[in-house]
Formats: sequence, C-alpha cells, structure tokens
Amino acid sequence: MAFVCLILSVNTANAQTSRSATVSADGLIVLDASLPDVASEYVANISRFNFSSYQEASNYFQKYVSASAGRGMSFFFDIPNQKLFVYVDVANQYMVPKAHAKSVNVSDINYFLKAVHEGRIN
Amino acid sequence: MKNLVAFIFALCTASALFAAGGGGSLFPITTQMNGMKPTAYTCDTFKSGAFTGQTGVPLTTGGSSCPTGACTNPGYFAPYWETYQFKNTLLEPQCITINWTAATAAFCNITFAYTGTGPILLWTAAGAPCYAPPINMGSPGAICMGTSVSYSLEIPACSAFTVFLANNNGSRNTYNLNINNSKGDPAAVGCLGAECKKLLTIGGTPVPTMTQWGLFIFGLVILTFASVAIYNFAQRASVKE
Repeated sequence: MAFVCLILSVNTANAQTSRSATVSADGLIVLDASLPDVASEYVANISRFNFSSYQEASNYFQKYVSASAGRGMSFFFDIPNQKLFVYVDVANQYMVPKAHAKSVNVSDINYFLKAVHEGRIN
Repeated sequence: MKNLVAFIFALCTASALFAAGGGGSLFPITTQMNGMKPTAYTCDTFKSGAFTGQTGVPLTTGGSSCPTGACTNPGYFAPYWETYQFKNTLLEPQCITINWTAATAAFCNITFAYTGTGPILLWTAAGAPCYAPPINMGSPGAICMGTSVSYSLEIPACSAFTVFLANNNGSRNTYNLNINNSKGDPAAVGCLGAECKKLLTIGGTPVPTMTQWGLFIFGLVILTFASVAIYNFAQRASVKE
C-alpha cells in the first residue's frame, strides 16, 4: 500500500511539473510558452512520425541532442506511447545567455531550439 | 618560354596570397579563451578582459546576414571576453561569414561582430545600448554557441571591424575562428594596418585560341571551295543542255 502511495505521489509530482510541447511536421520542437518560467519537463506527442524504435527517434532528433549535450537539456523517447520528453535543468542550463536583470524564460529556450532546427547552431 | 612559365607562376602565387588577405592567412585562429593572444593572430590588436558584476553586452535578436543584424536584445553577462580587430582589405564592400567551431559544447559562450574598432558597449541601468548605423552589427542571436556557429556581416570597403567572443559562465572552450567570403573562400581580411587592394577578376569574354582561329579559317576555305565547285558543276550542266 505504501508503495502504491509512493508511486501515486511521484506521478502527482511529475504531473505538476510536466508541461506540453509540440513537434512540427519538419521536426521543430516548441515548448509550451503559456507560462514564462521554465519547467523541468516537457512532453510532446510524436505519433505523427511513427517511430518504431528508440534509435530511429534518437537519430531523427540527434541535432537537438548534440547541441544541448552537457548544457542543461536532455531528451528521452517513449516509443510505446509515442512521446518525447524534454528535460531542462532549470538551475544549470546553458542554452541561452543569462540575461541581465531577468531569468531565462521559455521563449529564450524556444529561440535556441529554433536556431538548432534551422542549422544556425549545432 | 621560361619567362612565360615564371610569369604564370608569379600570377598564381600572387592571387593565392591575395585571396588569403595578403601576405598569408591569419586563419584558423585557435583560442583557449584564457587571455592569451592566439599564435595565429599575428596582429597586435588582441584584447581580453573580464566584466565584473552583472554587466552585459549587446547581441542581435536573430541570426544576421549581410548587410546587418538588428540589435534589440542586449544585456547579457560576460565575465570573460576577448576581441579581434581586422580590416577588409578590398577596395569594395565584402560580405564576410564569421565561423566559430569547438571540439565540444561547453556551457555558454557568445559572439558578435561590428564594424569599426570602437569600445564594447556595456549594459547600464539607464538603458540598453546597441551598435547603431553607420555601424553594422551581426551575431547568431541571443543563444549560446554550440560546437559550431556562424553569422554574416557586410564590411565597407577598406574598413575595420571587431569580432567579440565571450564566456557567460562556467567552463570555457577552445574555439577555432575562420572568416570566409560569400563564396566560402577565405575572406580578404588582414590586420588594421594592411594595405587595401582592388580585386581584379581575370576572365570575361573568352578569346578564341590560335587553333580555334585556324579551324575557323580552314572551314571558311572549305566552304569557298565547295561553293566554287557547285557553281562550276551548275555551269557545266547548263552548257551540256
């Protein structure tokens, strides 16, 4: 019973921090910017790509994985449920410069993702 | 014959040197972002330093292409910075592409460039300065550099420009700097005191070679003989009739 409660509490905690993201047909990842502060987890539906393996999905999104390696963002692919998880280390992320007098917001990170998608940064 | 070969060799050597900016290429410039002037950067205008506190510098909001970027998003930390000053050695405007590459992405490094050799503008509490016209400004936008980043900027004829590289926080990286022209070849840039030159394009309307002229004239002679022969045959045929 305690284990079930623990699982439920973990799920509840995750649900509180997880926000949505979208992936366009050509592979641009856009995080939900309805709230300006950066969440630690974003989930996107990638069923439109119909990936059959983790490797296939990983290869498709490799440019994001490479550009963000060691810089406070990581990607996980849930193939059975056709979902992409984007994890952001909010306290230690280095995708965008830390602006004077303001924290990095979701728009800043979406700008970074767009730059990676367009090949301006890799 | 020897003189001709020597002339062609000298022409090729001169054009190669000229394409590299005159007197040999400065690139790639490899920096470890440690305050030491890179060996390949033989100019005496290397500067580095550290901005203390929450001081920032301007960046453009979008990846810039020639002629200029739009600076509306200034104010980023730069605890360590270094600048390189160059000169467009052509007597005409030149669209250059500044490219930084690194072995691995490490934390946050930023870059921008601007025409001229003025001081770096700092963020102040009163406002957010930008490099405004006639100064052109370019950067990849408000993003940390990855393992490779590039942006373009148009430099007026025989004019100076400054390339800025800075580290936001944490570990720095070893970067290679290359500056190319719009064709992807090494740009014609040099140190501030470099001489400016006019770019000569060898070529234009092709002139036929002697062999081609010979074939052309030979063809005309054959045509003339053929015309005469046909005329003679026609005359003979009319006489028989």
